[in-house]
Amino acid sequence: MNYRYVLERVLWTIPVLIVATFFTFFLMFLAPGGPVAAVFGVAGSPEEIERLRAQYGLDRPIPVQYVDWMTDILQGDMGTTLVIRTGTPVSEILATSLPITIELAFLAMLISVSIGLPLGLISALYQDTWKDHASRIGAVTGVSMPTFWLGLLSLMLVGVFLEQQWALRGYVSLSEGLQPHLLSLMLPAISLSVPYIALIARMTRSSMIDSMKSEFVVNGRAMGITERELIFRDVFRNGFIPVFTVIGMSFGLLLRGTVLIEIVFGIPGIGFMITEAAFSRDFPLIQGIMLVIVLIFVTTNLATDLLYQVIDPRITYEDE
Amino acid sequence: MPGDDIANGLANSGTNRRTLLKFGGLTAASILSAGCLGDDDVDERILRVPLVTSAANLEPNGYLDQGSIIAGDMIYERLEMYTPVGELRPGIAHDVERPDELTYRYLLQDEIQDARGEAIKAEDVKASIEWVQDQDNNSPKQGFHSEIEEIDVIDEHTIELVLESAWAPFRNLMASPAGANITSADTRGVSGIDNQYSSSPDDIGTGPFQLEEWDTGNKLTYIPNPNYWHEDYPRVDRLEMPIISETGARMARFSGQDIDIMLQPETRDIPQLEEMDGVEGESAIGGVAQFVAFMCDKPPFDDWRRRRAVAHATDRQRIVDNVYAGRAEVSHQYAHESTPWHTGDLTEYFEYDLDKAKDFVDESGGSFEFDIFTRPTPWSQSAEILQEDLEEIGVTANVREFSHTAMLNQTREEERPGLTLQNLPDREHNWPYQIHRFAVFPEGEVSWFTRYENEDVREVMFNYLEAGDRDAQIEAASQLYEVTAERCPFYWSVWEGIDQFWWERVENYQPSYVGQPLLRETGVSD
Repeated sequence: MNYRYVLERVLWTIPVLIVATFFTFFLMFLAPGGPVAAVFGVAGSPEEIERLRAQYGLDRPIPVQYVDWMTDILQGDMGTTLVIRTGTPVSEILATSLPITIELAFLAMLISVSIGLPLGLISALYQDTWKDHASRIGAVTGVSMPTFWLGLLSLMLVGVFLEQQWALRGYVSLSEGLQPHLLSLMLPAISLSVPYIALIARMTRSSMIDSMKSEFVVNGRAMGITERELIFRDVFRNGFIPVFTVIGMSFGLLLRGTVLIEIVFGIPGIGFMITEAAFSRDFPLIQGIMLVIVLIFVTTNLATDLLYQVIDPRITYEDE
Repeated sequence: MPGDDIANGLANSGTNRRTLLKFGGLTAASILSAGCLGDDDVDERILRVPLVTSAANLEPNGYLDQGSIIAGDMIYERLEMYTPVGELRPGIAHDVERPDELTYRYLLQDEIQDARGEAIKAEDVKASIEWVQDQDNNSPKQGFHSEIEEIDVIDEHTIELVLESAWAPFRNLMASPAGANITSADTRGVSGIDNQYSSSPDDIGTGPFQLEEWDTGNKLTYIPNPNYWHEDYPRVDRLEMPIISETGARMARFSGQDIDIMLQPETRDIPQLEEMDGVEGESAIGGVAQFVAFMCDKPPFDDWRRRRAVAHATDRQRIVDNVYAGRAEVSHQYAHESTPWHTGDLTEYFEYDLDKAKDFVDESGGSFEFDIFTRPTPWSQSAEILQEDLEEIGVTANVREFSHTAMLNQTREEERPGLTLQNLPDREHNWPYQIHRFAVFPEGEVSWFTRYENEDVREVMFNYLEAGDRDAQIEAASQLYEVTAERCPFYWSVWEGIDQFWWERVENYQPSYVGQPLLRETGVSD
């Protein structure tokens, strides 16, 4: 492991986080209305509105508010909600909703990789055969399908036409049992994973085909290495790096996809919560959720970068 | 790319957010009267009713949206309540006396207990109302209790509420979801320990259920109140209210029989629901009208001829046909024909006539441009129809879709000229009215109760509701939608339809349509 590479990568995440959080924070103030209107609705007098603005520090310059917000965050205080369960610590809402979304995204990722990788591999190995064509058609169809529509379609198909009641029951929390809990996440995870299965399959196929055309494959064959050994030991390892990048990025994209899936299936994760927060202009909650999403994005990208070295130790910084 | 349809998803998730207080309250009453699954169906009898609401707004202690009203009415009761068919029935009080026009003497039931077994007495009622009145508690019901000047506990079971001024609909208001929920003085909702956003299993009311669990953003689970005084309720072992804000998911879960009752389905889904085996349903015209309100003290509608032009350019029938697929009714006057205040003698109204509209535009000085502020679909669709017609007569209308709150704020702050297309007005803005709600009087009369800031409109409304003879009423009614240089109220567009469907296994479910021809008696004793 190259420690300088690791250190530089970790250090780079700091400015990325600062810029991302600042823009997230700043963009909130461009929204019409503002948090005070959301709380008081039509009943607030100008005096009440001013009082609330002062109470939440909204009457100060935005950069000052940002610094204060970040200072509080670093001390573990994400503030309290304005509208959704008014006065509830944002961290409390995140503590209940974030694990649900992570679990959903993780399940979807697991499904995507378990199906997408072999599918892409088969497609590459049987290039231009019916297996390849079928896989590619499936991949294009999967990428083209809106997650939202897939969710509804799966509900109708499994729940209504196949009469599987578990599919219709909505979200079941873990406290009600592991099996019903996992079953309640099954359809959402599958719906969420379909586009990523397609994406991973396509990337695996093209990457493997490129890799199979490399000189080392020709040399390997000339040296009498078996096809099986070549593919699983050399081609796959070389071709996996771009696929791994896609998988790393997909986790972040999956989090984005949960917004729609959580609405369709009524899952109280952060995707659902951020929609509710956006509609009700609950700024502290929006900021808290956005911060977490940015953190997850940055962390998964960092982890992906670092794991490159594990997969291929030759990867280093250019100036090293 | 995956997820590109975020915007559509967000839009869809918000399409059903209506503040239909009356409908919500009566729907809650309907659910209470709903029975159970068949005995051979499952061991535990669970009734599952979706809440069509935003998890952000849901608050059983409040009454900000239909979902909250339904959720709250499972736990709490008021002095009086509504039956599913819109009549007053006993709640905490079994009777009301009127010593004078300002005083309401509520006679409380002798042995009413909350879910803990604590008796509810007059002091508890007083504390409940005072909590709502207390500005520090920020109760959304506060404004409706401001008329109560004095609360006197006469004895343990008698309390008098004295109003500042006579207000005919007061009793109905107290029975409606806007009335104070009555709880024991030492429970959270009343004590002011927390604000109104605090529902939890600790909140104890006298209603038929008690909250067992509130899984935020997911569902509310209730169990029966063992001390509930009304022997007929509840007849289920558990009541679950999942929050299903997405219309397609709600339809799928109803089709798959996961949920038992479908409230307010999308118009496009109704034909499919009607064809389902084992599903009962009713459709009726509801108590809510879509109407147009003018900002009469600002250009361009400070000229009555422009107001009249818009009135003549509104194709109500097209709105009924295209926006509501025929499940609505053209409205020509303030009261629906099922109410005593409707007058069939009033035949003149602003008929759809683009030539007339064009003449008024020309008389007023020619083309003009303005904004139409509207809530999301279906109101925005109506606004687009109006926009198309106005374009034909050279008037440019920009349809601006706003959230209810944002729209009212901007209107109140006088930032926006133009007109608004609304379903229900709300408090504290500079439109010519203030509060406008549907009411059923104790004698079974149906009326609207209204409080107007605008003296002129208030006088017309009073004349209309109190008119002693038919001619006076017709005269007053005609003034209500008269758009002239002197008067500036609003004019009526269409009455919206209400549809409900439920599986046959749900016993004695009574859909609630107040003041409608389809209103029916059911077999549930009360």
